[in-house]
Amino acid sequence: MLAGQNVSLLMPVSAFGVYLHAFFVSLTLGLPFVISSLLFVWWRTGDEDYYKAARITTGVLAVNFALGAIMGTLVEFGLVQAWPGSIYAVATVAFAPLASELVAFIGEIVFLVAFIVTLRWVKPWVSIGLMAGYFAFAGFSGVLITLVNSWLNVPWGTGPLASVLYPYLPSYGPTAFDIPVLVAVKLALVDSLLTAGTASQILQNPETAKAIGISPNDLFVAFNSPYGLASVAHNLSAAIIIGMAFAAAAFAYKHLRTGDTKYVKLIRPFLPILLILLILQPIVFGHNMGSAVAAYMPTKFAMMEGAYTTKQNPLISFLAYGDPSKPILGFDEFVKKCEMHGDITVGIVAAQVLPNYIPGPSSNIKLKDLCLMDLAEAQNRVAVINAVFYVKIGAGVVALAAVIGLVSATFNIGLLSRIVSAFSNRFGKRQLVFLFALLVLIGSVLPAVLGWYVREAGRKPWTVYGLLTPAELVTPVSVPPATIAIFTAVFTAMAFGGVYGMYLVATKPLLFVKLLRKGAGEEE
Amino acid sequence: MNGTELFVFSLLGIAVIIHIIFVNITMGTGFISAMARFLAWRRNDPSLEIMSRRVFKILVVHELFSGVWGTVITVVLAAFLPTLLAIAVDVMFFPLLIALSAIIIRIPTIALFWYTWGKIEPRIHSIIGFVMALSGFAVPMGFRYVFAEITYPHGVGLALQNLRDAARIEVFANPLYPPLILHTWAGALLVGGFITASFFAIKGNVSPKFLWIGLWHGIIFLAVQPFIGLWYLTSLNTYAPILYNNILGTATFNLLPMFGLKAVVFASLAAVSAFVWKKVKRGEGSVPRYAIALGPLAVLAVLAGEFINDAGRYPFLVLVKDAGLPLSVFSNLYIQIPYQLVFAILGVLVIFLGGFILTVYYALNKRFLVDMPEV
Repeated sequence: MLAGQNVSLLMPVSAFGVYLHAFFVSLTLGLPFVISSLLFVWWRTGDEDYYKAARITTGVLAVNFALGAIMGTLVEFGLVQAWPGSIYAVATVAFAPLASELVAFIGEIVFLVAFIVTLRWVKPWVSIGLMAGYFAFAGFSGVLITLVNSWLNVPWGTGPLASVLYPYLPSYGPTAFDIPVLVAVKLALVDSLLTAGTASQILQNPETAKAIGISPNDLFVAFNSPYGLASVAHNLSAAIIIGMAFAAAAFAYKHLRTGDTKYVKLIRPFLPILLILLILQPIVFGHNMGSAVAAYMPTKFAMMEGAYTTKQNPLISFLAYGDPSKPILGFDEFVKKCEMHGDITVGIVAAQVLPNYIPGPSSNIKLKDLCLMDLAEAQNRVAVINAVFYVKIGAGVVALAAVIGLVSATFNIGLLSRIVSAFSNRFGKRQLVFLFALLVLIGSVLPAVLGWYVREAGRKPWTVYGLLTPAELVTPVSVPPATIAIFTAVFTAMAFGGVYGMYLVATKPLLFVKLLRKGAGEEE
Repeated sequence: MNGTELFVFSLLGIAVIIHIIFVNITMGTGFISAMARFLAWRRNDPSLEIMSRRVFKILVVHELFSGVWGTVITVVLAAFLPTLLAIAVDVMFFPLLIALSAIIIRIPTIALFWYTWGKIEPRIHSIIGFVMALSGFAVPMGFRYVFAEITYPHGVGLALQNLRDAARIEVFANPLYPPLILHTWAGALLVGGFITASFFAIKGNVSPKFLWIGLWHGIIFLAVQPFIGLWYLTSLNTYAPILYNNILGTATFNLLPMFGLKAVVFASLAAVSAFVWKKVKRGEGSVPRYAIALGPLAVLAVLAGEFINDAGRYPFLVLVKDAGLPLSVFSNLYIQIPYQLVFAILGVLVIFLGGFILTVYYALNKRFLVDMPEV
């Protein structure tokens, strides 16, 4: 079936694009803290080292912003081009967040350009204010995009619809959609998939649009999702941590290579913020995220905990549900729930919801079979998701320990600093500072990469959890693999070229005048 | 069209026109900047490198906003005309892929061109410059297929007959496309040349040598444009008679005054160019104050041309020879559009755009951009 082939072909490309975008967005959100804290210390002390470091970091941020914007465009276009079924979501539940995102995007540009153009021409506190404005809009953009992604994970406002098909799923908030309309959309997609091999092309037919009609009655429903709010805090803090960890590792590396202690000095201004965020991330943000997954995405939670069968784990249950005696539901329990459907078919349910229902190719499909088939697909991922999740947790613990080590090595905080100093005497301070900074970076990036994998792969086999599958949304175009390979090569080359550009900006001394003369034929 | 449809038609049109204006400026100045950088290296002329950097700053400022308005267009299409977008991403999958690939190359190379300046060898830097410039021209190479198809649905017509696979290839053979893309490219180079000329006529930034380079770029394409324009117009007569008749004022929506304005602007550009050419004397003479009018006149020509091309399809959105498909066919019927939110967002966009342009021109006037410390 063409839809299946396209899903196999386009899913990895889309995921790769999202990962690249997330990498650049992390720097976009984290570097403003680095730049602002460096400028603040420059303002208070007049030490030019801080200004120069802020200037170079600004150059990195500018290149990074361009790359983040382009990868964002790639994801945006990719979404509607590779997964045109998502146009329905963009035209309904994502309308308000994506329209608001325009304001965030333009705000980012205005403040970043204003910051770059006026740096050193205006007072430092004005520059810090402009950078804060930039961060506010960049953060706002992150909030909006995260809310849209969260709706795909937990389709808030669809009420009990998903639980009708999959009885182990909970209800998703007060109903903010006309449920019969959503059922009609789903049926139209499934029937088209069964007859034509692809489904999303139904949105091209104006008559279909007329027949579907208006569905959501609250266009801001994505903003009200408790899962969305937990995701926003968790994702944004992770991004900020990565950006700062990246800068700390870069300065520590320069310290390692040159032995110049000014690079340790440059880490200090933003290190306390990094420490606080790395403490808050697991205790507050990660905890809320985990609780939200446990509450709204039972299959993902079972995957994370490796629960093939229902099991007891008082610690996890206490953290997830606030009740140590509550069992972690496993796939055996979900199977039982599926079997409760008995011999009910799609047609029987559809006829109850849609007064004018005309039986189609999907009418005779048993809900039990559908439920068990999708469940089996989810269950296939348990081992991977479980392993990835716990590696992520472990990496986060490493980051927390390493940042405490880094703080102890760069500030005097009593006993811990004396312990680190003892290690410094043995292994060398330069090496130790770099090791801590590197571990903070690895311990920040790895959980983010793995966490995103858990987030995205954990909601499979659905794109919209419990409602829509990738095959129902993928393009009906028969895309030659060579075309996708070339396209992927282009954007991969640009991403790595961009990263190399950031490296050049951060590390190469400015040879402009020298090279200008050379380039213009004047010998050195 | 009812009020709502007219609003969406106008909103889409305004977004397209603003986007096209910015895009023309960035494509044209990008080419001139890359060429000047290359010539600086080949001719051992350091002053051309200075010119390249200054022209490049015009590009950077406007590129950011062309990108924003490109995103605005996508959101408007998805939010207000989802059916049209669904058709476009299917039938025009490959042209859009070309445009997307070009954007992916364009934006990072802009950043790389600036931030590697003086940090890598001039030869490599010149190559980055040309990749940056040419990728800018490749973006409309993809998107103009969409414009060609909504004016004459050559490929889409096949798709409507359920010949989708053939349609996706046949869009590349749209007969309106060749004159349209040439008209677009020549227009961008014309605008780039005259904007550059204007830029070097600004008080405090005056340079006869740099102005002259921009001027001859502009004049070459000013001379070429009427021929390509005529080719496009006669093609419209064959393939899109509604648009053709609207332009010539012989149909319901009379655009002849706008077409006349475009002709007058072209004539003015020719006259002012000739006067400036005489004064500047191949970069050896003086710069007359009125040379500053060249850029705005070129932009006005683009505005008038794009307005004609887009508004001329009224009351339809997609033209099909002597008939057309109204906007309502493609409307978002899935939600009640929250117009208060739409107006609020548009208001913020306009305020930011205005504020940003004022800031940039203030910065230019204060020489912040010219003299800002280099990273």
